[in-house]
Amino acid sequence: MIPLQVVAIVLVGLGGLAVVAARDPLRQALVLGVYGLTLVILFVVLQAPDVALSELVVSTVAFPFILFTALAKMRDRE
Amino acid sequence: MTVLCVVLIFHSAHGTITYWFGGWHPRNGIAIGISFSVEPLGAGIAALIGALMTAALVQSIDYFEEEVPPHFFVLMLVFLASMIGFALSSDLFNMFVFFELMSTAAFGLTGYRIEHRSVLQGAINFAVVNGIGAFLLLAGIALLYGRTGALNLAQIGQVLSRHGADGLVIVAFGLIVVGLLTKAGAVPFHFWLSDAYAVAPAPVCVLFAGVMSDLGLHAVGRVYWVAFSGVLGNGHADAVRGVLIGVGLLTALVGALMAFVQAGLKRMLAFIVISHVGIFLTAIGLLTARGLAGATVYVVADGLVKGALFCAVGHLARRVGHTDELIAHGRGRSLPLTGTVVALGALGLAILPPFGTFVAYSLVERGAGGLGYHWLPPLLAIATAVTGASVLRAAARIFLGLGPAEDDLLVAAPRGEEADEGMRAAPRRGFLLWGPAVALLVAGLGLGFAPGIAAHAVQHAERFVDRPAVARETLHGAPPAPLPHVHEQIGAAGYAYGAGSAILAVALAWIGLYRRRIPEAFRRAAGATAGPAVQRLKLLHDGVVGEYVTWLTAGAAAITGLLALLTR
Amino acid sequence: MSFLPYALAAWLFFVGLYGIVTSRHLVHLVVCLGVMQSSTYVLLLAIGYRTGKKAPIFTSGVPTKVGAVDPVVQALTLTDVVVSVVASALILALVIEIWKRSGKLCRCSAPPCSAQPAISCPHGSTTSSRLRSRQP
Repeated sequence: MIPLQVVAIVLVGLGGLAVVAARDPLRQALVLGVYGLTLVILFVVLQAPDVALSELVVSTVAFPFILFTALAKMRDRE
Repeated sequence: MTVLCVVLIFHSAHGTITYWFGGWHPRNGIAIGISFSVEPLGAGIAALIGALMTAALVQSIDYFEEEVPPHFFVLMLVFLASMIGFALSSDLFNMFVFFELMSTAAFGLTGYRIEHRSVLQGAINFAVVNGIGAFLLLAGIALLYGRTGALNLAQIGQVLSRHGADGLVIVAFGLIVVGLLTKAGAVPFHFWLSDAYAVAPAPVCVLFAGVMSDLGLHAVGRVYWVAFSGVLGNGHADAVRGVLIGVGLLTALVGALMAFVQAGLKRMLAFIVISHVGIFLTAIGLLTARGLAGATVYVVADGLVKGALFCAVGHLARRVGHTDELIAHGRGRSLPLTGTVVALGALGLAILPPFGTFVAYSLVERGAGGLGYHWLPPLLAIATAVTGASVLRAAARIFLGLGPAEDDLLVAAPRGEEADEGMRAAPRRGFLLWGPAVALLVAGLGLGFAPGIAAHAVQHAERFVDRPAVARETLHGAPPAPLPHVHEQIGAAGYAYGAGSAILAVALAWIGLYRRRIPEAFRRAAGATAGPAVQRLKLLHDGVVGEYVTWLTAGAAAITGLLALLTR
Repeated sequence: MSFLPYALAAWLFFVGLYGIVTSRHLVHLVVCLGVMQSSTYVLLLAIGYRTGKKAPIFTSGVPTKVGAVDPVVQALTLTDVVVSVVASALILALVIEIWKRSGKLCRCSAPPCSAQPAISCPHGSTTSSRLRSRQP
């Protein structure tokens, strides 16, 4: 139980760093999706399944989708 | 809505009205439900919100060139609801939600007229800085919840007062205060404010300047008195007082100085908002009932005056097409009424007796005197004088055509900020444009003539700062404490400061207009000493959002660190 | 274990902050804001977590013996998650608008492009150039 939590915490920490370090927005959107997934794992092991479900929808599906749409709009205008 | 809020003031005068949503009343003093607590001071702020919103909505009918789309009104009403919710809520997390809702509606409104980049840049600075402020606030709330297991302010106060003030409580208090001060725009969290207020449409600015900033301060007062006064009040009060007054004074003086060197009226008014936020923060930071009463009356009176000024600026923008005092030099001669409103408003800002702002200032002055802080009132009077002077100078240039039309001291506003480029100066002489300005000004200045307003405010503030009684009333439904007898008399010192500030304002405005008539040697000496500092300060306010965030973090660390250090 | 989640919250906060401060692209900035906000989720959940307790789902008496972790913070986190995505979406909408305007500006004439802070643009020049444009 506890080792699992430690692993999840380390994963989230690395994920956050990776998101910030990815300077290209398109790549960053992808990394963000993965980061959201690590957060979901962390929430599950912290006994918060409902938060994990909403986070799953928001940060691995909805938010990258919004980002991609925004980036696509910008690409159109270029 | 306004009428409802005014009714609320009188109703809650007999005792705090607490409404528990969904009927979740507290049992045995433990609150699970979410509640609104209405006491006269909060209801006063809510009434101010209602009044300003009415004025802004009336003006926006004529202000925009095209038909106003429905979503503008929807945003305005959401903004109204969230502000009133924030002012009345007595639940910390609810306050956070209203805080976010308010910010979201507000930055939607800021970016409403997308004519130029600077508008969007202002809106984004606003959104990012306020977002981070909200995270700090939420982190503070979370820590506090971890310690007390409660979100209701009164209950937090009860739990906290049983324990001592340890590091966690101090850090939580620091984070919450920083989050709220970010909204209020205190130095060094104020950079977003001047960018955002300068670009928002004038009717929206009426609300931003009139109440949104001051709401953050009102919340600081409420959080301190209802939740933290039990644990921080004895022993640590001096530390909290020192930090709040220090930040407040710095804000008041920096804001006043920056206002004085602006040429664009909207940006100038934005810095005046910052300066006066500093004054209110100082008044709340006195941590006395009289200081709190003074701050509340000041917020209401000053909010009405600032709202009137922004309405007048909106009228000017509509008729003349520009609000930069150097460009619009003399072009406002055809608008004597608006000119009078601006000039009177400026004198109101400079606390000329016997206007409403003066009554509030005299309360603050006596509050400071009661603590032995006799050096404080003159400094505040200087800040009010400088802010009044900058508006007077601009009014003289625009409406009377006095003074030279160029001045290298002043900062010109970036292109597209003061004049809406898409908006031609249409000769619309609608009552809807200048009517709200006159009404707000009359209300703001006339507040000073309301009989016994100072005494009433102090009475209710006295009751409000009695934390155990408030907690009993909220959580156990105990009858309210009887109103203490208070006799308020404005002393000679108060009149002296008020008159002095107004005279100083006129004098400074004259200096601002006719600097060249001052002897050369004196001018050069003053320029050599103050010039570089002012220049640096100006440059500081031109940064990008990254710099603002750095300042925010530094300020947050400094305030929390200072609190921790002083309460050791 | 007990301090690790708090350390993670602080770490995410400062990593996001670093990203915002050094950001050269507004979309990147919005994402960093999201990372910063996720620190508050972790903080909230860490505060409500109790070792060995189960998730607060009470179906026909399953976890009543063991007890549950604090459900209030989970409700707060849910609110927070939803609020954050709305705020980010709104900022992104503003960013798109900026891009539209500045794209037009860049095409019409060369110099105005230098008046753009904090967004990468075909002509380069990103750092506080508004400073220069404001100088009289």
